[in-house]
Parts: sequence; structure tokens; C-alpha cells
Amino acid sequence: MGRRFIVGAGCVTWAGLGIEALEQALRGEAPPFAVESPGSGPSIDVGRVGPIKDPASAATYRRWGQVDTYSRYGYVAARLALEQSGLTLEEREAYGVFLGTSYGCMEENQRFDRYTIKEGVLKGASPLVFKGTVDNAPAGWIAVAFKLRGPNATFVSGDGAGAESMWSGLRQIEAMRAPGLLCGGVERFVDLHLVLRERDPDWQGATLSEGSGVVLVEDEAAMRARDVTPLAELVGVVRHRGSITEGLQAVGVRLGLRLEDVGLVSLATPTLERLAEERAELEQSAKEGGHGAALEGIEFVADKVTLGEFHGAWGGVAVCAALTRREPGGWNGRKYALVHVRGEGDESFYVALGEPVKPE
Amino acid sequence: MSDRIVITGIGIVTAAGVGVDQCWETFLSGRSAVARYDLFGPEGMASQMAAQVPQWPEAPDKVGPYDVVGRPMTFAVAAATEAMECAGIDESLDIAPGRRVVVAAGGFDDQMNLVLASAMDKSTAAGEASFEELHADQVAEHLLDDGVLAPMERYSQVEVMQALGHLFGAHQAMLVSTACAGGPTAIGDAVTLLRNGEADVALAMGVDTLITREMMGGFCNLTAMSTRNDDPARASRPFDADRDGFVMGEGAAALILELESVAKARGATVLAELAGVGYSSDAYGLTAPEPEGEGMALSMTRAVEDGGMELTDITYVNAHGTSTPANDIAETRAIRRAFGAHADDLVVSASKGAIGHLIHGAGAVGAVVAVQTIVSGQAHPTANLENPGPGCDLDFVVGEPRPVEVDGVLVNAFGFGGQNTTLAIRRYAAGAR
Repeated sequence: MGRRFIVGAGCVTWAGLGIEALEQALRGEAPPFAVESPGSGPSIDVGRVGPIKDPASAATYRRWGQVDTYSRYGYVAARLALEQSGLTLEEREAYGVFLGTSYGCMEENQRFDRYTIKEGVLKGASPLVFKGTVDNAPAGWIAVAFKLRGPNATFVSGDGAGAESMWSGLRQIEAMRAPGLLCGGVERFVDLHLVLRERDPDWQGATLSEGSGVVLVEDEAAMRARDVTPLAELVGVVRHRGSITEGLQAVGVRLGLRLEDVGLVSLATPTLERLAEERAELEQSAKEGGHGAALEGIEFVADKVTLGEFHGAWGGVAVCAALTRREPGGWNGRKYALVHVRGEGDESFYVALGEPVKPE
Repeated sequence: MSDRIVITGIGIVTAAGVGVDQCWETFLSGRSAVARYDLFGPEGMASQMAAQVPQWPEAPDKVGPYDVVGRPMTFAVAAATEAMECAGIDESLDIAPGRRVVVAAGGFDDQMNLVLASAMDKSTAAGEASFEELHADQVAEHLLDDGVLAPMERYSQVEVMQALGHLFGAHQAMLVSTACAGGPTAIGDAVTLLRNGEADVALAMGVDTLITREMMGGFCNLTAMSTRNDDPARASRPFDADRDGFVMGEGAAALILELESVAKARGATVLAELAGVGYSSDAYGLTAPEPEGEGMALSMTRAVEDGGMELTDITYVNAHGTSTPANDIAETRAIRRAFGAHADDLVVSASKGAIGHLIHGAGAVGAVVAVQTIVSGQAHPTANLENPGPGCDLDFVVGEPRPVEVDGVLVNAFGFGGQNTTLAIRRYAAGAR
């Protein structure tokens, strides 16, 4: 079975457009979170992107003006990933788009509802707004604008949806249904989310953020034919029910990775306190398993603490963040990075990235 | 040769009836189940009819911790339960939860849409704010007052997915949203997992319940719906010269898919083989199909190739056939583009004449129809197709069911967003092909 590589990455976050802005945010060099007061509630921090006017994206599509904000997040991230990949118009026809989202087109739904309540259904049900009231609008717009005729789907399975899109996209490539796919997640919030968040007893603590993270995953043969330099190997995506300790063990078994070769573990943990607890649990387990030393060279990070909680977009954003942390030689001198993404219930996804050794 | 993927169970809830037998009888009769709807007042709406499920299906009150309430959850659980019973799957099934998977398709976040609309209605009715001043926290208060939402609760669609996972005893549950192509996309994803050896058995389905004021209004204003309000039973008429738009339907359809070896080992009756899946995107427009049918043709040829079949193996097509002027002509062109001269040998019918358009559920219904066509040897007539429209020049089944000796069937589903999925389903023959 061939290998798959990430050949382009793009993201849209409160820190700006592109993974360079994400990198700055991770270094603490980005502007602070916005402060909003939804309704009459108290002020809270928000990783807000807001409506974006991206001239570079507008130049790619004559109907850009019709693209809703939720879709624009995915669109801009996809454009950046495609541009980095160097795929030409002719080359990309067989490529597909798999995205994930938790809340989807909530803003357009709400906007549509407001019009229909205010004006009545007959006047208020604007076809222009209605277009955006489907969760798969971003994937649709991206395919239309960039002429991607391969498989196209949107996963709406909850917070793991962005990672699930990579998990499923890999399988499409393995089944030879496409030489590559844009995969990742997109999320857009409305005031209602912020208000309800305040009342959520289960809220874990990270700042609510919105945006998108998208990577272009390509089959090795297609990548070699184009002679491009990959950003990383997408070694695999493992989905697992249970604790993180068990999940990392499952990654090792299913993908054949040794912990000694892993230099970075990005945990979907909203606070530094929780990160310390999870790390301690892992170390205890490793000691009991007789390979405690293997953890010593691993850097554990909780990028949600800095970037915020992106829900269904987190899979894409977290992978982009892990890509920015790669240095020559890999991650902290080791070959692999693991990105943990929480799904619904006790399910997690683990995205395994590998040092992008250019194949011979 | 790797294990084939077989279909061992089917279940369905539509306006044509609850359960496969009742639905199939309606399909064969050529009757349309479209009528004036009563889920809300249709006054003033351009399209005042729909294919509404006529009787509440039997379903358990709870599935694990999940209450089976509301139309999406109830229809989904009812169709899934029927499919599981058909396949002989119950709690005694000796397959580990980690080897079972659920892949569902649904856009039923519209239930959330209803909740929000209701809350906003109440906020304005209570005089708390003018519409422009309406604050999110007031909406939230009404949501919480109704007990409809726990704080920050996810869309109901995730809850339906989790309930289905619980019902099927599966560790993995996925939910996809590709609009009208959703059902076959979910089925296709299940096929991929089974082929990869990542599961032994799958519940794959589509469900949608969009007969709501907002959805109907939106589609009406897109001028996509039939306005034949004076004759609802004749409104949904795929490929007919007098078609004037689609009619909204609702319901769910489910398949049990499993590895052939697993089905054999447990003595299950195999209904058909799920041979191949084809995906494509029109890359043309968000709401309108590409008029020459290039993307649609691509998904058909890809499904046939994926199934290791020849185009000439296909004898019946369950068309997407929405009854819109744009889709039906584009689909006819697509079938001709994909099949060439063999297009004249194909038998074609569309189920939406009887049950309207189930959106995410539509292609899953097509899959159930494909199985029934293979098993019964009869292709159902396209309800209301009396006089094929200009350019719609295929061999449509009209008026009466037609006896057919079917080996291969294609099921087409083309979605809002330009997303296309086609399933290739074939008669099951034990032993290597």
C-alpha cells in the first residue's frame, strides 16, 4: 500500500489567514482574543474571525460574493492549501473535498429564520440565504470554485468531524477513488453558542474559537509525479474509544509506530492543568509498561489553551498547528507527531504525522 | 478474491407506507402518496403539498439513554429496526461492538432550526424585544424554558447518530451530510470500511424530515418545487413533460451490509450484493445541476468500475428523477453519456413520483428499491409519468410494473452542492464471479 502525504495546508483563525498566523499565535505573538458581550450576558473572550473579505479568494471565483461566512472559512483555508500544493487546474480535477463540522451552517439557519419570522416565509425565505443553510455548503463551494470533481462529503458527527474527514479521506485515496483530497474542518459560531456556553456545566474551559483548518492529502504516486516537496507524511488516522493512554497504545499497534520515535503529542486538552494530569497518567502507564524512558523525549502540548476550542474544525486546525511545530529532522528530533482530537462520547481520533522524507 | 459486500437487511419509512412490504406495494401500484400537508398551515405557500408519512411507525420509547422522540429519530430508529430484524440481527449477534459500524446521512439539524424559530417567535410574541433587538440570551431562555435543549447541546443529528450506534451495538458511528446524495454516500462509506476489513457488519442509512415552514419556503423561493396544488397526487412526475418541480417527502431507509463470509457464517439470507460506489462532484453550481450531466455520468461510470462490472451488466437504473425540469433532463443526458448505446437497453424508473424527495433519505430509498427489484423481478412504474418530456428519451417504466430479469442496478443520488453518488447493486450469486 502506498503512502500519503500532506502537500498543502491552510487555515483561518482569529490570529489571521494561513498557518504563518497560526504559528505566530502559538508563539504568543498574535493579538489577544476578542471580547464580546452576547445578549445581555457578561463579557467573554472569543476567538472570533468574523466576516472575511479576502481579495485573493475573491479573485479566484466570480460568485465569491454569494459565499456565506461559514463557507468562506473553509474556502479560504482550502485555497491556501491548494496554492501551497502547486496543483494545476488540469491536475486537480480528480481530487475531492472531505470536510467536517460540528455546528455547520447555524448562522445561515438563524439568519434565514430571522428573515422568515420578520417578513413571513413568502417574502423572507431568500434563496440567496437559503443556499447557505446546508452543512455541506463549504465543500460544495470549494468543489465548484476550484473544479474538484472527485469525492465530496461533509461529516457532521460532532467535535471529531474534522479528524474524521481525514480518516475517511485516506480511505478514499486507498480505494483509488481520488489521488488526493482536501480534508479538514470548519466552524462558525453565533451569539447563541456563546450564551449557551455560559450555562454549560460541562464546559471544559477553552475559549470558543471559530475558523477552519484544511490540508491537501495526496497519494505518494501522484505527489511524485508532480515532483513536489511534502509538508509531512500522513501516516494514518486511528479512531479509538477509551482513555488517551489506551488510544496511544492503539496507535502504536495499528500504525506500527514506536513511542521512542514520537517527538510531539498534541492533546485536545483545554487547560494546562488537565494537560499535566493527562501527561502524568501517560507517564504512570508507560512506567508500568516498562517503557517510561520513551516518553522523556516527547513534547506534550495543548494547543487549545492558546488557540481556543474549535469544535468540529479542531482536527484541521490542530494538524496545521502540528505542522508549524515541525523543524528540520522532525519534531524534537524524532520522526513522528501525534495529534489527538476528541470526538463524541469517549471516542478520540489520533492523526499520525511523519517526517516528510521525500520518496526516492 | 476479497470478501464481497452483501445486503442482508432492508427497512424503510416513507409516505408510501411504514415497512418494506407496504412501501413496495405502493410503488408497484403506481400511486402517488403526495397530498396537502398538515404539519403546518400551508396557506400562501407556493407549494402546499408533500409526501408526509401517514402513520407513526412503531419504535421503542428509548434506545439506551436516548429518547426516541421527534420525526427524525423515530423514523430512523423504525427503519433501522426493520432492517436489523430483516437481517436477523438482535442482541444475540456474536460480533464485537468494535467490528460493527453505523454510517448515517441526515440534514435533520432542521429540528434545531425549528426549535430556534419557535423560540424567536416566542421572544417576539412576548414583547421582549423588537425583532431587530432580539438578543441571543432571550432566545436561549425560551429554549431552556421549553426544556428542549440542555445547555450547549449539540444538534439533534448527533443524538440520532449516537442512538443508532447504541441500537446497533456499534462502537463506531458516523454521520455525513451531502444533501440529496447523502444516503448513498453513507452506504458507500460503510462499504469502504467493510472492504478495508475495519468492520464486519454495518448499518447504513439516510433520513430526513424537512416538511417544515422554513424548508418549504426556501425551496419554494428557489422555484424548485411543484405548484400543482390543485392536484397533489399528480404533482411529483419525474421525467414527465408536465413536471414543474419536486415535492418534498420525508422518511428513512436503512440497509444492513456485511462481509459475505460473515453473512454466510451466521446463516443470514443474502438479498443482493453491494458491488460498487461512485462519487463525483459537478464542480458547476451549488444549487443547479451541470446541464450536460458530466458529473452525474462520472459517478455512474465510477460505480460500475468500482464494482468490477461492465456497463452492459447494468439493466435497471433507479434514477434520482426529482421531477424538476433541470435535473431530469441532465440525468437523462448523463445516463446516455455514461452508457452510450447501452442506454437504450436500460429499464429506468424513479421513486419520487410516489414519495416525493426525501433529500438525505432519497438515495437510501433507491437502494431498498434496487434490492426489491432484484428480488421480486419487477421494476416499479414511475408514478405520474404519462408523457416523457422533451429530451427524456429513456425506456421508463410507465403505468404498470414491468417484469425484469435484473443482474445489475444503479441507484443515482445527486445533491445540492453538486455532490453525486451512485451505487452499483447486483444480484447475489454465491461463489466467485
